[in-house]
Amino acid sequence: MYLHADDQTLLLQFAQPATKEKAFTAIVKKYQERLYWHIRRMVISHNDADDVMQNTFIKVWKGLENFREDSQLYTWLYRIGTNESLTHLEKAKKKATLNYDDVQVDLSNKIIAEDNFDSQKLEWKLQLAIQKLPEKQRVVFNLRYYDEMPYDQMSAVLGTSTGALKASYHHAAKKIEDYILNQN
Amino acid sequence: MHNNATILNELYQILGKPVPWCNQIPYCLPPFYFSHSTLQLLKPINTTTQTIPANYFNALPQIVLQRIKAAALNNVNNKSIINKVPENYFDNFAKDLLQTINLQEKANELNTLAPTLLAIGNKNIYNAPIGYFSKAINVPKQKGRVLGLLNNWAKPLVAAMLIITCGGISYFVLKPKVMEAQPMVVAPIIVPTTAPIIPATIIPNITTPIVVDSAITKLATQNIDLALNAINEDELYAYVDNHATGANFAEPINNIAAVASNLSNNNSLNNLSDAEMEQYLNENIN
Repeated sequence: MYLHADDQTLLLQFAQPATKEKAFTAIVKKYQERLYWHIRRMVISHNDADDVMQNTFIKVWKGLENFREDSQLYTWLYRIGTNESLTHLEKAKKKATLNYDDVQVDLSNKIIAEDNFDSQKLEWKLQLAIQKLPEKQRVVFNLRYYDEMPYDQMSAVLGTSTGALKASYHHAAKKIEDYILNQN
Repeated sequence: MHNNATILNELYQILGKPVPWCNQIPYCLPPFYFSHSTLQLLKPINTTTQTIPANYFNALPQIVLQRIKAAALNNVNNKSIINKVPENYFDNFAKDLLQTINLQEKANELNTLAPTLLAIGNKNIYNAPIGYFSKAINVPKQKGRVLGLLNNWAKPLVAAMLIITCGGISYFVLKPKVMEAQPMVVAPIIVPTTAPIIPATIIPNITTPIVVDSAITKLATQNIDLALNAINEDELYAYVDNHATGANFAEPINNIAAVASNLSNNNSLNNLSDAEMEQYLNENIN
């Protein structure tokens, strides 16, 4: 029942102590897959994605009472997930005292270490190409290309103007295409 | 007859002797067989058609009507099935439409921008462990409870510890200051706490310079009572005895009148300039 309730109802239920946990569980179930794949594409490995997912939903639990309904719950969750992913990458960078190029190499190595990795397949080449992008462009590209998110929603998630997002996406798409074509 | 003679001649030539004409049929027919033959032929047919149930024709119109009605009803049902809209179709219609438009826009955009990426497609290539999404969700309850406990009793405890620490620090920070400003040992401690309630008429009587250190004042203004409470009276009197200042510490000074009179009697503030007084007031009276 909770899974089909709309966000408004879930938020009202979350505000009630008696139904708080049920509502939270329903929110997690409703959005976990979309959020997981978004995070996974950012941090690549499942273990890292799991860590980020847990941190994300702990923050959701803490912040949901103060959630302002002027934005969609979906975009708010994406914002937290994106920020947590970037924070995770930042921490990894500091922990290993890596520079930006090293982080890219590290992510590419994680892709290559995936069970079903096939260097001949374009899908995997695309993944490797995405890791060559700067962080911001990578987020924008993933949100647009994989999550098929409209620019206005992306703007709400990333707090950037739609014009800037379009420019980022265009740059990213061009770079990736160049990378793939030159690799071939 | 001509035929008979011919046939007989043929038989005579074949057999070599004459044969009598005897072609009568030896079989018998039932009486009036040919006169009733048609009826006889029809009889089996009539018999087979007699398997119609009793009152068949009486019931037939009713049966036909029922079938017509059923057919009509079926037709209506078929039409309603054809025209049926999926549940919540219109609720999500606008959403679905926008989604389709968005997908088309995205595809067009990519087609002009990077057709290779459009051809690759955006199917997911990573795998999540089996059952990852169906595992039980741990509501972060424990953390909330710990925070709740902190709210209930740990905060006052932390506050008390901070106060004790502040008291200790202020004691050791004050110690050298007290030695430097021997006659005025009380002033930095007592005056700041009482300053906000000193009547304006009393203040000008304070004439002796006061060593007012802003750090000390801050400490003193925060929790001076608690800081003093942290030091027992014996320690305080022992300290005063060892660092005789000329001020009367025989009794704790608890009110502003006593402070004012004590300071006034000792003429300790006689040399306080207007600028110093103003500075003092600025720092201590908010």
